[in-house]
Amino acid sequence: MKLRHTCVFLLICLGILMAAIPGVDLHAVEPARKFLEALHERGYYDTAADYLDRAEANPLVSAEFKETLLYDRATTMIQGAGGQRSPVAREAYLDQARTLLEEFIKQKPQHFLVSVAKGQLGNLLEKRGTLKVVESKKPGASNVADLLAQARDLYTQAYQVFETSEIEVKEKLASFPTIIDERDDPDTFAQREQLRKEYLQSQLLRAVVKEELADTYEPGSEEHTKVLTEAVAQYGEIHKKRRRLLAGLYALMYQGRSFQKMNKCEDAITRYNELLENSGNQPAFRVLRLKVMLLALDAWTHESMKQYAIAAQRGREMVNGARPNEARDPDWLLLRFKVAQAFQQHAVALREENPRDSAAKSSLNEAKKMAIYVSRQPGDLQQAARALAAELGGRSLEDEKTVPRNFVEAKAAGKDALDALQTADIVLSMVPDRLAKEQDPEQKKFLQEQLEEANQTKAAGQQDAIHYFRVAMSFADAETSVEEVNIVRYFLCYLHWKTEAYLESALMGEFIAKRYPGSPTAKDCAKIAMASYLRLYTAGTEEDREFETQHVIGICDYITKQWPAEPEAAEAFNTLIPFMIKTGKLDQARAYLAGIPDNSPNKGEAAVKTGQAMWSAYLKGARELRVWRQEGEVPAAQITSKQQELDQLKQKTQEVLSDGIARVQDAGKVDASLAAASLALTQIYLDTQQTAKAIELLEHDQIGTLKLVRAKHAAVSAPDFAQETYKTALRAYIANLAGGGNGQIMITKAKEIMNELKATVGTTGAGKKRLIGIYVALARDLKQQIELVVDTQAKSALTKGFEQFLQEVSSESKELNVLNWVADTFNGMGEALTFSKTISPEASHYFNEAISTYERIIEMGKNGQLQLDDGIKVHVQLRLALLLRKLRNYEKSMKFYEAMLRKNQMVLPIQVGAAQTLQEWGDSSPKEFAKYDKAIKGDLPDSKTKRPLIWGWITLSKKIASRSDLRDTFHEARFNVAHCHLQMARGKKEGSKAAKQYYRFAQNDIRNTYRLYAKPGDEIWSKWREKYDNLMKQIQRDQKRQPIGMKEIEEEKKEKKTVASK
Amino acid sequence: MLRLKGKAVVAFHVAAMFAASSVAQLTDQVYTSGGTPTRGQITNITPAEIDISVSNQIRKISVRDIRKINFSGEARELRKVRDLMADGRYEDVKEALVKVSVESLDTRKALKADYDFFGAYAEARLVLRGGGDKNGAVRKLNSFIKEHPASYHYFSAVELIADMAVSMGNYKAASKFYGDLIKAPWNDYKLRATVLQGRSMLAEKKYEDAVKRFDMVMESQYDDPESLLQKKMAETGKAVCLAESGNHDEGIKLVETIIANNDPQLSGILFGHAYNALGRCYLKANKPKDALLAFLHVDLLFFSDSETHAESLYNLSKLWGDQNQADRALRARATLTQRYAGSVWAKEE
Repeated sequence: MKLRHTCVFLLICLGILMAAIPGVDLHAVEPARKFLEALHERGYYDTAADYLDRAEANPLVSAEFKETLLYDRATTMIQGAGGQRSPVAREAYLDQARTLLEEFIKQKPQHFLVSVAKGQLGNLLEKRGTLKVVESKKPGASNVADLLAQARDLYTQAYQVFETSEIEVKEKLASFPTIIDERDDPDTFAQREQLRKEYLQSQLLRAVVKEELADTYEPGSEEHTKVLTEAVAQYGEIHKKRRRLLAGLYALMYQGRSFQKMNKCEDAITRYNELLENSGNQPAFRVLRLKVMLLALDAWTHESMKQYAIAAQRGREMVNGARPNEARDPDWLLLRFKVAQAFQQHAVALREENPRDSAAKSSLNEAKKMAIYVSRQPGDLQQAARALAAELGGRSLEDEKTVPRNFVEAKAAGKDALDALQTADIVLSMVPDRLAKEQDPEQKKFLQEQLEEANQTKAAGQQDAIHYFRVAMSFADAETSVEEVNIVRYFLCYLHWKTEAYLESALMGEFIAKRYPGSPTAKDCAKIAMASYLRLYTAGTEEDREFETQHVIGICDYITKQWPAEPEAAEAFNTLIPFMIKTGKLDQARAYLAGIPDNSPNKGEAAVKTGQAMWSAYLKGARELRVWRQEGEVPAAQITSKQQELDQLKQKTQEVLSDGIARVQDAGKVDASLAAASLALTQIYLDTQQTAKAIELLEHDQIGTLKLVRAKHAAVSAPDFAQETYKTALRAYIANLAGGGNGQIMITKAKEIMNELKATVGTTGAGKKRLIGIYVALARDLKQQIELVVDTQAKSALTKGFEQFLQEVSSESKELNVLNWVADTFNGMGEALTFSKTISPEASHYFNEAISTYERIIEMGKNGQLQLDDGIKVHVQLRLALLLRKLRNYEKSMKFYEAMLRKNQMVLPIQVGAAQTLQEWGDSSPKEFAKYDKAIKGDLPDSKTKRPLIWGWITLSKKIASRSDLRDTFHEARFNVAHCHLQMARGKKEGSKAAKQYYRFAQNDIRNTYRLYAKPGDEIWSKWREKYDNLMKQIQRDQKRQPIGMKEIEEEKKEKKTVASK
Repeated sequence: MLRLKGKAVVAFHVAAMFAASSVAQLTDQVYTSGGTPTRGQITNITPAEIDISVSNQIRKISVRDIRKINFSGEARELRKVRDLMADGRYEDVKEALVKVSVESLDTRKALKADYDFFGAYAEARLVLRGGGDKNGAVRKLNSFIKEHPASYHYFSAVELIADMAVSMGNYKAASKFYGDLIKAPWNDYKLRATVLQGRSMLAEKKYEDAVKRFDMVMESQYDDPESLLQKKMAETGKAVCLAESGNHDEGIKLVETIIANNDPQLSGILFGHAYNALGRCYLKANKPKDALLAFLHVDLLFFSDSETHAESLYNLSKLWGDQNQADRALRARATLTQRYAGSVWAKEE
């Protein structure tokens, strides 16, 4: 115990040390610091010392590491000393460490580790002093006075070290400003905090050494009392200033201990009681309370106090509060042992008063139980506890524990322990209730005893049972039946589960279940394995659950296949489905869902979850398909296949969700999961043109999401749920306009929804921005809704329904976001009706509607009806420019580009759009071939600088050539230069000089791009290489050459290289 | 090259999980190291590259860049095996292969090739790790190579069979197979194969021949990162050759330069090789304590590569014994035999 209390501080010092060192050889050529730490970790201190000895001459070790060699040697010695059995060797190690530390401090006085080294030096001296004291107390020690004198000397030196360190640190602290704001100057703040810690440590260690110094004097002597009184004062000072810190509480405990050493037990107990009242439940406080209790037990039972009853009662309270993992901790065992002694002393005291006192017997029984418990645990106390148990009339360990001689005996002993354990469990579950109701004090006392006994049996019984069953397994041989062995395995599996050793229970359970599926215990083992893996999964971190996931899936899958008709299979299915969903294996999730019996109460919830996951997968797939269609790179057959796949998924999702919702709905519970499923099903109905059903579900009294949202039901409190519902409702009501229903009612409902939606987002700037985002998404959804309709008539009816609504909203509204949404939606509708490069009259109609609405926005901005900032103006103008280009109204489109560029020439998308428009203008008719030249070289030159306002592809590509983030746009520009030159060549007379020249230009455009900017292996280059290759082939075909594409240029480069190398 | 190790494996697996859930995939999908998979019809497969037709355009994809191929119409069970392979769960691969219907492989030659490769590769990896019938595993790999010389797994199989030969002490065969690997069309791959060939010669104590191989690598003109790493690997091999030929000081200097000029955090495997080489140089220089410290670096810090770790453990078990540290010697020996039972070092006395 003597050495224990300083450990806390040594660790604190080491903690500071470890925090300070890692940066030291960060750039070292050899990872010397890591290697040294690894050697320490493995306990190879001698090898670490060898390594450090060689480090000075080792060219691979950095200069920074060599700076602290002395210090590292010292810490290696200190740590290595612990492993030395011989006191002489230990002393030698510590001596050497001291010399090294002193040398280090002398050689490197300015090094940042110096103050830590000084602390180590003080610790080392204290450690050596304590060793001397311990040696002097050994039985038969002959040179006691000499040893104590040496200890005194060492403690005095340690005291001086800490005192000096304290003064130094105090001086350093004084140099800091009084107020430091951590946010303004975190480094200075951290330095001051570290120094404060060091200061506190030095103070506390100084007091500890003072207290220990007293141990070198005869107890009760004048010096002994004088030194302890000084220690008490020092501890008191620390506690007074630091009563809220753990160090302050330790100071109070040590103060109590110092009083106790002076036989002032009452003073000591006052301090211990104060500390025991501390309700802090963190591990550090728990450790402190245990330490205090151990000291308090000594004080209460001291002959000057004789408060045995208090000691026994308070001690027992703490023992009963021990956690399972603490039961075998040496300090907790010591507590039990001391409490057993207190009970014994209490019994003796009671009998001295009244030899027939019945309480004395129960006290002795209590003492006996505790002593037997400790005597069962290996360790320093085992012998003493055995002796106490025997003295109290208890059986010795050998008597207590059956020593089995074969499999049968071991199994029986294990079973007995297990039975006792199960009985204890029953007592623990039933007695507390009875105890609370019981009025008779005698009966209450009896029940209390029962409870305590059950607690003890539980703590010891689990380990006993495991022990005996393991012994049984070691006896198992060829003659032992497999069934018998498996029963033992099952018990072990169960006990591991009970003691929370989940990996063991999982592995054992899985082994039986899979290896012996016919065994009567197999099913139970499988269940334990499943539950254990789930516990491991829950305890694991998000990133590192692969093992657990695989095993949960593996065992559940096995259970469903092995015992498909049993209730365990339903449980396994329910466990499996979320895992399958999480890993994206929806088909398997659905297959497992089908495996759950129809009458299972969990089937509905599983179906709802599976359906939602399927719907998410559908939405993800639909998004992917949209990208494929936009990019136009994926083959049509593949797109069709994907569409079919998604349609099937949607159909299946509808089935699963309808079934799940119906089941859960029957149960009458509406939760977030059901609400989400209801919304998903509504959206499916909408996407499959079942508008009436969608509206019916939305407005359903019990599970309709619109109803729930309007009622502010807790099930729809998730963020964005209300907005998603309003969007869906709006789509539904608008779509229903096409169904021939009462149009006016639907429009009214839709308008109501728009108002509610507006109310939910609020009127703040952020709210308005959000509303725009919602409208944009809604426009996209409506466009998608049109696209999903295959039948032409239905498509036309739907678009007309939308148009009617949009016109209505547009005519009434003077809000920017609504008008913008109307225009975007018209544009989306036009796009949804565009299937090729030729724009149908119907699509053209909607594009023109969009143009009119955008123009109206600009107009309203001009006459002050709308507030349009520059950003919105550009947005609207850009939309107009694009729409006009789409409708081949190039002249008007270019006017918008010009207006935008005159405001700001440096906006890349506008420059790209302008060049693209000029190019497409060129494409539109042979008469407009001159536009190609403008697309390449730019247009609208400034009257003074002659620099064009529209850059054109060449200038544009030059400006962004060095921007790695714009490589795609760069290649777009380079490609279009070549494209325009090719078209210009084609516009000239075949074979003419001019035609040849433009062909050469086009070819050179590609050649130069390849030579200067091709990056083999680069993804963007690979994409564009294909396009350049195509263009090159067109040039080659036009010139009646073999169409080998880019190979021509690539071969040229290779040839040049070969010539150069020759 | 389809090397089923490291980070690529994780990405491979994640991608595979999503792919596996799709039903009735109509196109082949080639997953490369970056971007979305290329979908289309695979028209030709060679050990070096595959041709895939996308929108009637043939794209060539180097086998080295391929992480995974999902063939259209392949059995779900076979795809599961692919995922298990990617996870390195070779025990499970063997079990899962049993569930693959052999008839389902008849539709395409590539499916049968994959099936055969997975079986042979998994078995060989298991034997290399934990010991077992090495001859049987080699026979299966050989049979795969003969039956499917055009498979895109060809070079993986050749490399593994060469590694097997080294683990069996059959250096002649190893040298031949590494020679076959040199025919691969990738620069750094050629260099790696040459280094491995040099190492098998080193194990055979043919130091002059080994030095020639290492020099070839060190003098090559390639300067991409992977080739540079192989050059440094060659230097570690050459250092050992120098030591074995009596020039241990030169060997030590060579290794020290490697250690001094590289970052241990970026090239752990190189450092493992370098410290093992340093240990061997010190052994030859009769400096057992220095040698012990060098090998300890591998055991404590650079143990990620199994063969390198096994070599260090073998040497440590000897050196600890010489230092009268029987418990540490036993610990090293036990780790060697328990963890790397299939290694050639576990068989050395």
